[in-house]
Amino acid sequence: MHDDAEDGPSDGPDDEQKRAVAAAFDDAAAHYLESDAHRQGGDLEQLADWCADATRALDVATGAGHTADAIADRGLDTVIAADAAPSMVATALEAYDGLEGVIVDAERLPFAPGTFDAVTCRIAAHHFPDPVTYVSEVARVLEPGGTFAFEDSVAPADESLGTFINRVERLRDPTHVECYTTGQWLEWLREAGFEIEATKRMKKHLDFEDWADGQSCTGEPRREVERLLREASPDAKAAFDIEVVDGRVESFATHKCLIRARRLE
Amino acid sequence: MKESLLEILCCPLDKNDLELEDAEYDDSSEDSEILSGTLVCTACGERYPIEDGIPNLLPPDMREESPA
Repeated sequence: MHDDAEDGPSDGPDDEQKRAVAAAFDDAAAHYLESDAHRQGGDLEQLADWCADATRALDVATGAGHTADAIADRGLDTVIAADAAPSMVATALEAYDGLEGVIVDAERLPFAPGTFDAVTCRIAAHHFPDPVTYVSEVARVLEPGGTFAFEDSVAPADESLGTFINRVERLRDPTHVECYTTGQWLEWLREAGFEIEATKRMKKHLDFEDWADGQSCTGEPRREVERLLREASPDAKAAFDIEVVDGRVESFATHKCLIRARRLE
Repeated sequence: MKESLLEILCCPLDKNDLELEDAEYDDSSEDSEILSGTLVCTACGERYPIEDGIPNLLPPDMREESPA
């Protein structure tokens, strides 16, 4: 009767996974509103600029609403801040005027076809269990010619470096699903009917303590993730700019990719 | 939520139209703001709550019984 997802129905483990993510982010809502890594940076402005000509936008996995607010600042008529965690949506609406809030599953969006001329999603898709279904849902709710402004943490093309960073992310946050390579995202987007207009790669430098605090990573997992970073291979240390001072990890960097994609006619 | 939002919302499961039931409005706002109510799928009958002005369109398998 239901679940018309194109690439296989959602099954039990996926739903458990998504509930766990929503619950974790309910707990983390306040931290994300204050988080420098999520609030600042040229990437946010870039995503918003890509949507500047739109009139009605959807921000998927809005978190504390930073991206939704940045798009609304460009003068759009309607910006919908959507997240699977009810308290995240409430936080976003309290923090910023002029947004509409809806609680959604990113892979089963509750919007009519062609509703939006822009969809954004910033540093969140690595939590989605089924990125192919997610991308097809974004294509469905965008009108032809509409813009998808997407950013996520990505894995380097080198497989061992990808395995390394996904292990680090999962230790810190068990709801982390996977950082995929930029090439993988581009392939999924093209298969879903998008044309790629721009791709930007950047590194985001993170203070280790702040980063671990962000998902309340403490105790043994925190020691383990710090050990992984501290004892990383020279290749990984270089790829992720891992800074170790007096035996403690001070900072490191994750790889981000920004993609501007246009839904084909 | 603004009443106009109803025009673009649909059932997350089968994408059919929703009908608003038991709506309470905020009389103090200029636009028609819906504070609470229930959105019901016209095809499958699934019910989605509007609480504190925010529609919860999570499919039932992802919905917490008591929101955090």
